[in-house]
Amino acid sequence: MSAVVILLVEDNLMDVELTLDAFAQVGLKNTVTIARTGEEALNYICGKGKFADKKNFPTPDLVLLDLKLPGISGHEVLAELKNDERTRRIPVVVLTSSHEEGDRAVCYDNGVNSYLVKPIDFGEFVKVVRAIGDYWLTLNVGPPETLR
Amino acid sequence: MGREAALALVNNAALLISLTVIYSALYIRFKKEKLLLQKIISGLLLGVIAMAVMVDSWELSPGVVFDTRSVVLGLTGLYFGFIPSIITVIMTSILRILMGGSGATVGVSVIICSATTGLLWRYRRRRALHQMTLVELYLFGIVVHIFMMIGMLFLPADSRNAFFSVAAVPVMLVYPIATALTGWAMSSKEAQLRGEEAVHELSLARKRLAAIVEASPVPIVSLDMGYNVTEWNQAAEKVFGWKRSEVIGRPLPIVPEEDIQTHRDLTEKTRSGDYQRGTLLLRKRKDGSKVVVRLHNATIFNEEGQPEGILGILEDVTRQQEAEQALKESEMRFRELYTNMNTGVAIYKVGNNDEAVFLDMNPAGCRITGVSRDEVVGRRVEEVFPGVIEMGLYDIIIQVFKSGLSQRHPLKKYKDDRIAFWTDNYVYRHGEDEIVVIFEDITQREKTLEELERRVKERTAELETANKELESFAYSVSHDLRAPLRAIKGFAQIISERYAGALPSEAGRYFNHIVGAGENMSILIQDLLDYSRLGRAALKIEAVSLAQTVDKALDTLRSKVKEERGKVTVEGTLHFVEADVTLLNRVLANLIENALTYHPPERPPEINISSRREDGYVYLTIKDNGIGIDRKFYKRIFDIFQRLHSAEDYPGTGIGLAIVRKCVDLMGGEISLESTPGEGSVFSVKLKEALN
Repeated sequence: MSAVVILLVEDNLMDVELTLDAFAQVGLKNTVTIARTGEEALNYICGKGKFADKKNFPTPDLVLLDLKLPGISGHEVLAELKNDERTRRIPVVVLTSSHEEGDRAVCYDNGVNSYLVKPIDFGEFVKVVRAIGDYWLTLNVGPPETLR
Repeated sequence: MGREAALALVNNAALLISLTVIYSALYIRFKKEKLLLQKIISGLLLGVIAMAVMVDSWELSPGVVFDTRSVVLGLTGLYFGFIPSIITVIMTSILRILMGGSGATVGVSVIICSATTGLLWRYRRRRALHQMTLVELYLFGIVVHIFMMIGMLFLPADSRNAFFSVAAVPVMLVYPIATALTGWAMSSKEAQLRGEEAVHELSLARKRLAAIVEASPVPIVSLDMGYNVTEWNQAAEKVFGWKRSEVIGRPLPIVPEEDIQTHRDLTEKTRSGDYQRGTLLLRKRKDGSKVVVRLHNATIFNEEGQPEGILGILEDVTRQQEAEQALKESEMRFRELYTNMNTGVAIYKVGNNDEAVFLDMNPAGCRITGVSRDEVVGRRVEEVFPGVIEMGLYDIIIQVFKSGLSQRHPLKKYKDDRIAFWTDNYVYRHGEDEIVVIFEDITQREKTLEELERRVKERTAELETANKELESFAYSVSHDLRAPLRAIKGFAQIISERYAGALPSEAGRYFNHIVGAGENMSILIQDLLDYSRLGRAALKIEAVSLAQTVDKALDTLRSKVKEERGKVTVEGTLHFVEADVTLLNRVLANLIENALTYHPPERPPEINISSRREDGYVYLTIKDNGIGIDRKFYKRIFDIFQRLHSAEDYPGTGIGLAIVRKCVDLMGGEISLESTPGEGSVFSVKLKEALN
């Protein structure tokens, strides 16, 4: 497999920029696609509408999901993904500012693969991104070829 | 007749007179019941006179002796009575016998007969001797001498003949007259002396009466037929003020001007027999003040039975009147109170078998209970108000009746098919068997209270909701602030690190400030989040060991303890409390951390932790030797974000104690503080003791 495709589901542009900067800092050269809403994310992953072209819009190997999204929430996106047998296997890492028990409970109930809290400090954030790279992109063995 | 005969006659007459003298001297002066001694002495004296009479007799012819012994003895029997007569009879009989002669027997029988006749006449007359008339006495004399004549018939023949031929006629002519005259003299004497005695008695009676009148504490006044005062006793002087000398002979001064005519009419009425018995009149005193008197009067009659004036007793009852008046007014006052008051009063009479019957109920009571007085009086309480039994009031009435102790029941509900209301009752016993229940209808008050309670509950619920909303708000705000904060800090950091070289030093410095401020903001937001998070999680109260909690906190703060060179000691055993583990951990961690932080730099912190039990609560104390807190900040430092020092002196956001207080409040405890600035502080947390 060539470069792993990462789908970053994040509404806040500044957070997006910081995340991409951190990725650059860490030296991750993966393709990072941005979905700004939950709907867009689902459409992308399921290849709906303009995303039907899987060549240009390949199914992500890792989804970094923020919970705070306009319209349908991150929880719903997670639930959808994990309930659909076509998308169930895709690793989803929730990347959120919320430390709340409630959010964590719902996510784990929905079968989230990992739950990470975004630190305010950029230095710390870079460390987290590095860890993601080390673990999910290097160490973790992903699912077999999923039905695309 | 001859000189001897004349002499004897005179002597006899004299002796008869002496009879009179003895009678008046010895007999009638003294009291009615004569002493035995008196009688004996009189008897002896009379005996002597009788004997003298016999000795001084004259002989009409041989063996025919005359004397007035029949007169003496007859009068003795009549005027002197039994004992003197007996004595006289004995004495004269003895003498006659000693004198001897043929007519002795007759003589003695004449003696006895005369005396007896006298006695019989006396007792028939029943002692009203002073009223004996001359005629009656003459009659008496005749009767005595008739018996004498009869006696003479038994004389020996020649004496008898001599007597009847010579003496009988003179005797029958003279002797009764002598008897009458002597008797009459005695009667008159008696009458005279009786009169004297009567006068004397009357005088004594008068004096006694006068003394009573003078001594009387009640004024006694008499008026004559002309309405003028004739008597005015000392009490009258005292009560009315006028002296006796001022009123005698003048009209009654105590009568007020306007009442003079009524007074006269009253006087007339009395005179005609309509006596006043306890009439109340208004009169006046010499000084003009009014006096209320109670009048009792009567007419004074003279000897002929004609009215000669009236006597009146005037009791000064002014004070009594005033008292009665005051009592009446008081009674009126209380009756009006009873009738007009807004509180109900029910009076019961409790009888045998614990029966409580209505004696009375005041208008307010009737109004509250919706009955009329006539409906209830005489009926049993449970008849009229069936709900009293369930209400408990019936039992209370009986209890109070039996014990005599009053009871207060501020809240009781009465209910029956007809009405329902709340009352405040006070029950007490009056006398032996009357129970009084004073009751106020507090239905309105209760309804108001219920309404208020409901409103308070509503308000509290509203407040709670508002509070929760606020907390939610604080939470979401602080939560949402993180994202922009992240951007501020992040980009500032990137710039200051990455483009340090390209930037002038000032710019670099400024970006560092931005980062620093972002850092502070981050901490503040974190604290706020922590604080608002506290109320959201469900509370789990269980028995928690203070010792374990302290250990945990110290473990967490281990590095800080080392850093500050702190010394923490636990004194004695720490108890178990009813608390939420998480919150309690927070409390201890924060308090100990504070103690480790707020100390003078040159003085390492020494912390002393102890707990004590009291009345079901545990008081945990954390004592330090730090910088202390001024009294005026005791309350404030528990407020959120309140700081007493700048961040440079001592780090912190001012949330620590606010969190501590919130945690303690959530667990139902209390926190207090005592401190001496410069020496140290003592924080005391009160929590419920865990009982196992």
